[in-house]
Amino acid sequence: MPTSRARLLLFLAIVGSLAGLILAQERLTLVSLSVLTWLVLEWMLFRLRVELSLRRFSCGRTVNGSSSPDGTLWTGRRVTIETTLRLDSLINLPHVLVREALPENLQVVSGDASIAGDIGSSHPLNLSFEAVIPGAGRVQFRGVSVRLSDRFGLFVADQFVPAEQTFRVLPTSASPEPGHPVTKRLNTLMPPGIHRLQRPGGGSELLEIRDYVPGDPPKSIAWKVSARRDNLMTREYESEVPVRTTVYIDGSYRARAGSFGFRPIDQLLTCAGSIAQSALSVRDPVALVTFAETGVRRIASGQGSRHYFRLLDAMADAASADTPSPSVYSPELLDFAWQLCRDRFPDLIDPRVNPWRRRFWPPRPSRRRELNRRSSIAAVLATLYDLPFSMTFHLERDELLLSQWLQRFLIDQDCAWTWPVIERRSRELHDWDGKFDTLTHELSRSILHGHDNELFVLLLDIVDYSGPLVRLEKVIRLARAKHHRVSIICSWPDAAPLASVPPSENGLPAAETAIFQQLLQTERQRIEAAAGRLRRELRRCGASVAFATDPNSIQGILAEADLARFGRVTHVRSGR
Amino acid sequence: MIPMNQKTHRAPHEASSPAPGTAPVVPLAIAAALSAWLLSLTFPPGLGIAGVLLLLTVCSTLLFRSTLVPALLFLTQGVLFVTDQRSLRSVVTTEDQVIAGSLLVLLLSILRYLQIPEPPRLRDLLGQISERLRLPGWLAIRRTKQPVTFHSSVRAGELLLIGVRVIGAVVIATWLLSLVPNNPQAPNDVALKPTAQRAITLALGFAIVVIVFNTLANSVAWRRLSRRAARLFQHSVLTEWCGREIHTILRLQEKQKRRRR
Repeated sequence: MPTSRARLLLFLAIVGSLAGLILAQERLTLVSLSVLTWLVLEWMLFRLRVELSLRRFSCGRTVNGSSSPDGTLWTGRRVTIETTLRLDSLINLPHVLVREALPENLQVVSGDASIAGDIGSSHPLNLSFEAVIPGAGRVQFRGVSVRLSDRFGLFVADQFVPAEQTFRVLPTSASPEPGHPVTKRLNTLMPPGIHRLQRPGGGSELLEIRDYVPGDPPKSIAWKVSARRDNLMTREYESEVPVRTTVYIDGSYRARAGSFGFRPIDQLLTCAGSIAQSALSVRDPVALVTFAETGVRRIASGQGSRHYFRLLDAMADAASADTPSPSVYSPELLDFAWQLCRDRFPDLIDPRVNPWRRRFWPPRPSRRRELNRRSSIAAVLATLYDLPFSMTFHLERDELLLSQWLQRFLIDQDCAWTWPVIERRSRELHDWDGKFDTLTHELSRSILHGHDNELFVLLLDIVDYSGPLVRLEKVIRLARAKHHRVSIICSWPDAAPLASVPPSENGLPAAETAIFQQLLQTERQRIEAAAGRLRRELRRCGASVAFATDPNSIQGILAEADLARFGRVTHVRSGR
Repeated sequence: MIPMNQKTHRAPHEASSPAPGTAPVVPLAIAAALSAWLLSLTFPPGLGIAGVLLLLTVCSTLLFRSTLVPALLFLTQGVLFVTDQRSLRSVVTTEDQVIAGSLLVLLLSILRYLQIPEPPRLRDLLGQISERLRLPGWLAIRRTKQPVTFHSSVRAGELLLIGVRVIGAVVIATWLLSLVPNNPQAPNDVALKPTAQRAITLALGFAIVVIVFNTLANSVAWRRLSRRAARLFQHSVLTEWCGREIHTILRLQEKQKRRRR
């Protein structure tokens, strides 16, 4: 493919040659013809090189020293990636630009994800860089984009060399301060995972002495006290029970929208991982429920490190699964998909393989280009997803259908749920009723099956919800009536990415910047007011409420756990 | 990946380096200056074009501006157009060939410093748009801003090949010019104007070379087509054959659905 530079030179050479020939000027003709001949020679050489070596690239990659096709990574930790592009050909290629097709859920922190240089069979190109993964879920390395060029930047050819590796990204847990002795040091202490509940039971610690009731076991009669009071008295002992923690994670459509690392679910998963780790460290069983508008996934309670990783796997699934509500077709959505195709599937949009149709209608060239792109992308989608032949025509004609498939394609390529993949005004499209139905149903079910005192931790994205919380309040009151503890952590919708841009860099004039800052301030005030309302209403029915951005939120949950275990907060948990 | 037992020319942890060779900055700068000087010698001194040419050369060499390269070509063509009044029927002299060669050396020595045109980044354009639309933070698209490193190296053998291509281009152009019919009787023979005859002859010559080569290269490319691309090609051929008819059927179906509603 000639670059604009080559096209301009070619145009000048042709015009010069024609002018020289027509006006019979020998020197002008010779000079222009020489340039034309040189361009043709360069093109022939470049084409020959490309065709002989284009399919002879191979790519290898190590992620943290491992070249395994799958593995596990953690959010927020540095990942070292080394990629090698080799050419198994006798021909050396000058000026090869190699770019790692970075998933969006990866931020380069040091080194370069691209390199340009010469490549040959004896000298491969190596890329080495470090990156951080901001959001839990999945990261797919698909391969490298290779752009071949001649020495003078006149012609380019693109190719995508696949090298697939898929990694599950687990949320990193914030380690809470240790508060519980893990080893049993005194006989008065319970073994780890067993807690004294201040309700009558079969434990060994005395709870109270009460009047004898027929049916009480004779061995529980307190003889000395009975003799002193001349009345039969019975000893009652405390109950010794495990305290189960059930974590509910909001995996709804709204919680997963946004750039990786800024999604509400990223905040929630960090809290969930920390809570699970803390509870499992004192051998309390932990259960997990991830819910969305469409369904629920439950992980039964368990203990141990294996169970901890099972929980983290489920959390990663919650962050990456499912599809959002259908997007509306827009030219930006099509452009985005087209750019992605050009980057990752250059062989499928090559005009020799996927030619554009000759169109004369509509007369506007931009509209014709859009229609041509639609046809090309429809054919690419039909090929990638093995769709029936007639589907191509439906995709070309039906904008809604096309937008659905484009959205699926972009999400399959690990694009974040941001505009234009999803609607800009998606908050209004959020199905709050569906979410509350699922949540209250699941919570009621857990209360029904619960024993003794349990801790329910609800990790929700509801700050933006302005409707009545009656259903949620009812079920929380029910849980409190059954002596369970309920704790709620809400994600904090923050405008951090835009707010962090300094006014000098956001490209806005000073007046607009001031308005923009005022709008941000208003938005923050709105969020704070909504958060205050939420806190008031939910605390009224006995649940503790914290926000994910609050550094003491985990400590607050652990204090609730202490209350559930011992009936009081231990001295270490002072963060509530 | 590279097997552990296979020795490479560099350690795995070593940073990537360009292919063995040298960055011929000095030789190419000398070549550019020399060719600019040679070209400027051919221009009449009174026009001051030689100075402009040298200035453009220095600017484009130091600033790496790709737009200056076509400007240089255009300037040279313009000067030749204005100053050179010799007829096409005259024999091509060595001086003409030196001028053509100098211009080519000048162009390629400047082009040599240019970076590879990089394709637009996937999210950058959308990032710009989202910043303009002031999307809220959770919906905003961040821009990548990743720099691209560039290594400049060339082998001695390749420099020689570039020189051969330049000389070859001038020689071929001279040969092509010699093929152009200059016979004054030609218009009577083929009933064409001599200027049109020359242009058509040359254009046909170039077209034939390009088409033959392109066909050969395509035949190599078709053999290397991936299975997926082959399926897509088959799909597009089928679409071209019966696409119009299927579109008509779909349009009729849509009309029928509308009527039923």
